[in-house]
Amino acid sequence: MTNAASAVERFAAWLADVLPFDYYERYDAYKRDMAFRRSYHRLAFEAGWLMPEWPAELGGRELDSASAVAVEIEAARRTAPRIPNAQGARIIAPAIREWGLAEQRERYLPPTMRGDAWWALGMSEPDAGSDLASLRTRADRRGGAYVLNGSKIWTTQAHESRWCMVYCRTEPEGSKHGGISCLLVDLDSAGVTVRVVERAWPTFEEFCEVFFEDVEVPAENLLGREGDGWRIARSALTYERTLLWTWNLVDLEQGLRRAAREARTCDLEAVGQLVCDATAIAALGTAYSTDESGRDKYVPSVLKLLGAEGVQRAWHVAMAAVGPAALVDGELLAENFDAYGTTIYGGASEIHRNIVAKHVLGLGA
Amino acid sequence: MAAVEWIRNLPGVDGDTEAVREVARGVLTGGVDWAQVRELGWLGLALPESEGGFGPEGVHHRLALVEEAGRALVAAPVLSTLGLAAGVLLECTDAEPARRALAGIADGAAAALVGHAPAAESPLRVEDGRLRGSAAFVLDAEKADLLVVLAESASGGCVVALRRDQVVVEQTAAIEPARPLATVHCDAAVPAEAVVPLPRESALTAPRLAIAAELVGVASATLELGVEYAGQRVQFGRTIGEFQAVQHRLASAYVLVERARGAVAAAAVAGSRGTSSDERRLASFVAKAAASDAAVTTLNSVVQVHGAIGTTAEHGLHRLMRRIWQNTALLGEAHELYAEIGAHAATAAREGAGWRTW
Repeated sequence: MTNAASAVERFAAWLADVLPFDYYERYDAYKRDMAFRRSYHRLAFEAGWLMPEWPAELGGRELDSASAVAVEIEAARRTAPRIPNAQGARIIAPAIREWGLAEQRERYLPPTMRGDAWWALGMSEPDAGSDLASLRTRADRRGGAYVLNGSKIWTTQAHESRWCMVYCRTEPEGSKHGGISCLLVDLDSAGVTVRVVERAWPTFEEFCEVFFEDVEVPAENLLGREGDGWRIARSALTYERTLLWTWNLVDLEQGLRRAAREARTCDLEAVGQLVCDATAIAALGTAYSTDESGRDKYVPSVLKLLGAEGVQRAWHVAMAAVGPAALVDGELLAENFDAYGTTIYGGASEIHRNIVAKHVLGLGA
Repeated sequence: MAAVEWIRNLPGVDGDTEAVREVARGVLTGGVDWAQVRELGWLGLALPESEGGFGPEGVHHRLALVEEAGRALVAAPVLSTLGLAAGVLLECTDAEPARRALAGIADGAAAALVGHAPAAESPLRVEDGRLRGSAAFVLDAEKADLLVVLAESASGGCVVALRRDQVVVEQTAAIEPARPLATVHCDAAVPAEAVVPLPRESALTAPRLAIAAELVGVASATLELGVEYAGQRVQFGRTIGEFQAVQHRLASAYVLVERARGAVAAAAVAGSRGTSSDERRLASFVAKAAASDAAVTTLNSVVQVHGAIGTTAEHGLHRLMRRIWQNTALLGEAHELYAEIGAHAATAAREGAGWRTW
């Protein structure tokens, strides 16, 4: 048996052991059950499945990267629960591990990995969405601290998080990309205001506006060096994309199953197309993860496009198949509404098409 | 030459498929004829494991060659021989006539598949020791030494291998000069032991997947042509590839080609893993539908990007167009296949079986 196959087998056995007996029948309820998802996070961490490619002292299993992705795909295949604050353990923790000083790693990684410390990701601003590098939140060094002013928006779970990874400008006169730094900000600090953005529809995850008014951030909370922000953001986005395509795969599958249940009324051709999407994502994701050559660097953009657009289509097809009854099906409506986000967050589809055109096809370079 | 040594000597385990692909691409850019295909030892891939060939995992190598032959748009019958005919025969390597036919291919025989589109008025039947009937839309029949015929017998679907002199090949109007189409008429004596049982539905799985693989190759070549032209053609003072409208159209085509590549890879894995014949058949639907979709969408975009020049006889684009149209029309149109896959998903969802799409 290959490393990957035996890791998958161990993970599957563990998962079957920790899931409640009615998990699959009541998936919709468990999906919204934060207490359940918190306890799943804790169990996954303790068993070494949260970041299985990490060293044992950080709670990993030291798997090779191919095995780790095989486990990820198995988790998607088995619709494993989602950890409740994914950006903390899956995006910010890897970034802290990669860029942080020893003291920062010691301070932040254990509580984040255990699921005790929640994080928000402070990237977008009112005037900096897809054009992230035009962000204006600024941090001015005064003695042993940075003074932070500005605001972030679309900041998922900021109202429930103690910490926020804030991208900000430390050199107002510096270059667009080079003047950005990354601060680890305690949201309990004086001068921080968090406001939940009211959504047009009930949704699975709330997002917020975060205002910083003369917030003092100790200088030791700078991640990397001043000016490293853009590079940190790019590596964090890599972690994010791996997370997103496996999540998209699960959601796509859920949506297409919902549609397929309406055998008499669903658009069978559209369902067939969605099956192709899911098959291709799983196959390309597996091949990508086992390729060490790095020539497939931009595969995540392809996976993101296929996955995000697939999820959206899947729920629209399901809604159309259900017909007027969809109007009183809160779950289905919420899924449809939520699916609009998939082609916006983690890089809008247009941005990923730009990336493919420029870096893969070499157009307009 | 029955050599599969060239693959075994490549880096990786038995030459991994990427190494096979690289070698093939290098050779094919110069264009090859059938004599060269024979000399290169590629036909050894038709051998079953018992005769020194590869086991089920050999499908990856065969499909890589078929894909690359498609990318290079070769006239040599690589798809017909290694993809279609050998694909069917490798389904029944327990039967001596199938093994003999495969050995013939490994020895250099070009082969064609007859019967994927039976003629409605005279379907191919084995009766009273004779194989009679006709089949339309046979690829490369004129080039074939060996014809692998799918027919019906009293006990169900079957495969019979015939020599070129046992059939009448009638060329039909064809849109792709490099790959002529023919109607093949059979009226030959066949001893009972030459008739190899194989249900028609399972017989078509490997050929369908092979056509999908070739389409991925042709679609990639088409996209490359479009990207190249977009990078050269200047309008409004810049290359048209600098316009986002053009970039996004080509980027979307790229995503579809990758989607098809993934679907073909998934079907090949299913084929090499002893998955049930129904699952493999469905995987071949997924692969062919995705490949047709990718090829047609890419073609449409690339014709548009070229503007009027792409519609001229002088420009090479129509050669790709011809191959794409021919391939998409055979063994299931994308919309039919998608609908079949969807119907399968609906049945599985209703039965609540532990069905998965991947």
